[in-house]
Amino acid sequence: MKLTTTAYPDRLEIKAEGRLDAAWAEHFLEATRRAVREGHHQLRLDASGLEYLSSAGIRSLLQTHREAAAVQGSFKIIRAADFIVQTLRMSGFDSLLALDEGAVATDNPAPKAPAKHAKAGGWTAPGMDVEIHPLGGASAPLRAANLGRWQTWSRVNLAACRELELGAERTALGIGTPGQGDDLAAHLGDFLSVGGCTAYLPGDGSEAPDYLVGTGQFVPKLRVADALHATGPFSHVVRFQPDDSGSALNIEQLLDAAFATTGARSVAAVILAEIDGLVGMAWAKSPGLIAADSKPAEFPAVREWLSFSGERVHGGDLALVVAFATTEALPQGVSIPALPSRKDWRVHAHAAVFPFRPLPNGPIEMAPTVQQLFAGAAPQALLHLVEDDRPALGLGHSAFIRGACWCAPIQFTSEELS
Amino acid sequence: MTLVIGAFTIGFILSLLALGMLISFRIQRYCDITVDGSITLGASTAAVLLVHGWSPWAATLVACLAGSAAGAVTGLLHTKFRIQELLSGILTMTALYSINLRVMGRSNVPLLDVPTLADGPEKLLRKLAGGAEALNVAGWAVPTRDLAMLLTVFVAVAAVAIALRFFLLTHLGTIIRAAGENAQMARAQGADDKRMLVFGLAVSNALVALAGAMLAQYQGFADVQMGIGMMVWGLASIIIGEALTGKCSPGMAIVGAIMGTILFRLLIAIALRWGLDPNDLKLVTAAFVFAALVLPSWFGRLGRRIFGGRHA
Amino acid sequence: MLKIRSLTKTFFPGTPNEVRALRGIDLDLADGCFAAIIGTNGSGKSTLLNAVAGTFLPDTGTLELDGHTITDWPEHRRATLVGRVFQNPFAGTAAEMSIAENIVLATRRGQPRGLGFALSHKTRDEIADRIRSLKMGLEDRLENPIGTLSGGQRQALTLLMATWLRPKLLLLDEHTAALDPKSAAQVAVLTKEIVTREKLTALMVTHSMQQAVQLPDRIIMMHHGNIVEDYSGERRARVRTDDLMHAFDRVRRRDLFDSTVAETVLPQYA
Ligand SMILES: Nc1ncnc2c1ncn2[C@@H]1O[C@H](COP(=O)(O)OP(=O)(O)OP(=O)(O)O)[C@@H](O)[C@H]1O
Ligand SMILES: [Mg+2]
Repeated sequence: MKLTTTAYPDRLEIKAEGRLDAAWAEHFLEATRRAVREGHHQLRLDASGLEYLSSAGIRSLLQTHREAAAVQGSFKIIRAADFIVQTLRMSGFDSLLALDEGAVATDNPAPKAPAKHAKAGGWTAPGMDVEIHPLGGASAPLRAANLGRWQTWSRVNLAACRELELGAERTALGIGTPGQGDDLAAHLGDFLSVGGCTAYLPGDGSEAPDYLVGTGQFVPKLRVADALHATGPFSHVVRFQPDDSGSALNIEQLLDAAFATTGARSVAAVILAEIDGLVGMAWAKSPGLIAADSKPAEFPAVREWLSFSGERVHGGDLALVVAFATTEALPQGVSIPALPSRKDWRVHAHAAVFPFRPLPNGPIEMAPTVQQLFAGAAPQALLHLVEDDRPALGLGHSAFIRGACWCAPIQFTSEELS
Repeated sequence: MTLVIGAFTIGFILSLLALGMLISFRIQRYCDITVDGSITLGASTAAVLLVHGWSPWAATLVACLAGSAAGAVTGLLHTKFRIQELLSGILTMTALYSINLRVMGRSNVPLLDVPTLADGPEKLLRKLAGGAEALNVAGWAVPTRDLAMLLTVFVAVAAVAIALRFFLLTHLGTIIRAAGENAQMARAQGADDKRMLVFGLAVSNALVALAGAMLAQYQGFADVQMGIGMMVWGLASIIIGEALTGKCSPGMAIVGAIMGTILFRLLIAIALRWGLDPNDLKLVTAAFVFAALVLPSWFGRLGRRIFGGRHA
Repeated sequence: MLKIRSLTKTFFPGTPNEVRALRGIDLDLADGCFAAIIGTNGSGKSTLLNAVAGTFLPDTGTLELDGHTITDWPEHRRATLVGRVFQNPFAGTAAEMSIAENIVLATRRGQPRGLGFALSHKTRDEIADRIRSLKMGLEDRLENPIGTLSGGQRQALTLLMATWLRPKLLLLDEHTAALDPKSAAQVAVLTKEIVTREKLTALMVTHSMQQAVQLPDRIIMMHHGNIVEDYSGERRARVRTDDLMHAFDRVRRRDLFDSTVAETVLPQYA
């Protein structure tokens, strides 16, 4: 079977020539999945060259239909020969046929739709194609705070660990655990929380994060040693993908978009995107176990405490990133580390990794999308994102291919705001 | 006819050498150069003891013990002091040259009018033949003394061959064979492969010395030079034997080595008869072994075609 | 019961080629415990097994097996207690000797070998019986040189030999690694069968995560001459191949976390 794809402004046509049977069904499905992953959600199968359609072939058509529908897209068969129409009718799947769309064939193919929305004043979105959608909420900055305020590498004062409620309105990241008492010391680990869904590392050295999802009355709570959090609806969503150069977008570019979109000097951003590669660290051992007189931050002892991704990891998967970034002076008590390559930027970002699934196009809502994500699959990894700016050897920034970046202007207060 | 009988007698005597070398070279896969020295050691020891009036049996036995000591020394040099295989043999062989001179006191000991191992059988034959000096064998008159010698060495070789065959099939013999082929495996089965090697070399050189002792008694002298080139002759015999019988079972290898030696001696006797200069003998032998080592596949194929060999 | 205490071994000490192959191994293996050793190439797995088997004497540390302190025992003496199967199918048998002869060697592993006839009819029948249980049809080929068999058949026989007399400890060093997938699976099943039936204490080096998860009671991971993971008891029960892959990943990442990384990353943790 031979597959040829042509992009039109409003759809992607896949022309299949040959037999669509058990031997080729998987191949066809892979091709349509790739198209969806690349952002083409309106799919058409040009069936004029099909010589044979078996039941396995029909199954792959239905599956494509289902997957396109899942991202609010569509999948139709056009220019089907009579025997195909008959076959589909007899098996009751003629809803897949679009008999009236034959006429559109005369359109001129266009490689890409132009960006629909104006970019924020003067900012040109270098390297990316963006659509910026305001989300309607008030654009007053959200109040953001630093809770717990653990001095990294010092002994954790368990009494100073605070409880943080992680409701649907709250966006947070930091070091915490659902545990209590002695458990607390042994189980502190990185976490992030968006839309009432919290992913956290159990702090016992295991790589797989655990997670808590708020439902109905249940609001997840963590005891945190240190956390950044902000509460309230986000103001914009930026849909992004690489421009024609095709090179992946690093987190600095995305935060730049957030700054430009909100016009603020401090932002909270939630990124949900296909990963090109993440660079990060995670606590290998609960920092609650750091002894008073030890020197955990010295090499090589630090390797007992922190695990480094070592290379750009999880390419092709889906990341949920929570980031707090600022270019202004922080109030008393709030601490965010500076980016090595841009000393005027302070960024703290955690990422949870999920198996890839396509996102619908357009202005999607943050909380429901994230809740669907957690309902669909468990997070596979959780990283504190870092920049590795070593000359030559450095892995650079974490980078992404396409997805959504919700953002909100924030204002840090020196209160802790539990 | 004397020629044939002589070839057979020397053939049987050197079969003992070949059997000894079968143990070291083939079973233990140890390239043991001691042979050149220990065959002379056997000859010189036996000769000196005979001259001093020892009984031939005792003299021969002591010669064997001396040979086994030489073999053990080589083995110990290799296993305890980690001297390379060839070098440890060379060391012993070189040392043995002086030792042999010391034992004999000069470079040659003639054995005139001393009793030999063949005396007993000779008496027996005489008695059977009614006191004749020569016996009629297929129309040829053969001196009884020669026949007796042949008979003696034949019995010796047969006894050694049978004993060796059975020994190799005992528990001890089996592990010695295994140790030669795969020392790692032998150790894993609890065998001290180093001790096996020393033991094997001792037995091997005892047989070689036995050959030396008999050779001295047959030739009627012991000479410090007599060992030179013996190793290569032994090797040639083994190679011919393998071509004749294949090398699968220990029994066949033993028979092969004996047959190989005799065939080799016959070929040499014939060659000498045709006018080969005895001085060239060692060159020819060396060339033969060279061919056999360098062209093994060619040789093997030829052997298989001619003898229907049984290599798998 | 195998007890290893602070075992170290350095090859070529004091030279530029120095390799610290074992850096203080402590390991207790209970009677009847079947443990797998996994780890990256060069992590010291074979060196550990060789040290236990006595291929060389360790630099420091002690070894105790079945109540004997075997630290100074030479290899062949340890064979009275230890059965071994090697990675190379050629290493465990004598190729030119017959199947029966090879096996009869194993019937006296570590015992005095006298001048008794090795292959009596009775022994031969017993050998044929045990070989029949392998269901490889080898019982009819007892007289064939073992070198004519396939690698899988040889490994199965080597395994049979190593366990003919019940060893206090069975050492398996990647004993299926040189086999095709089907033979490897066969030998793996046979291994599990024998170890379970005879309740053997065993150490098995393997690079197959699947084998490591399916066969043993305990999984030990080595890295740079140290034991870095030890899955036993409950942890062993829940371990899956993914967890082992993660463990591999962890040690690899740890190696990539060098001082230059620490320099650039630690300020981002302040
Ligand atoms: N006999 C030896 N002489 C010198 N160095 C050795 C020797 N045996 C092992 N080494 C070295 O010791 C280190 C550990 O080797 P070892 O064979 O134990 O690794 P391994 O874990 O078995 O690896 P693999 O999975 O490749 O079998 C390696 O760096 C190796 O080069
Ligand atoms: Mg190894």
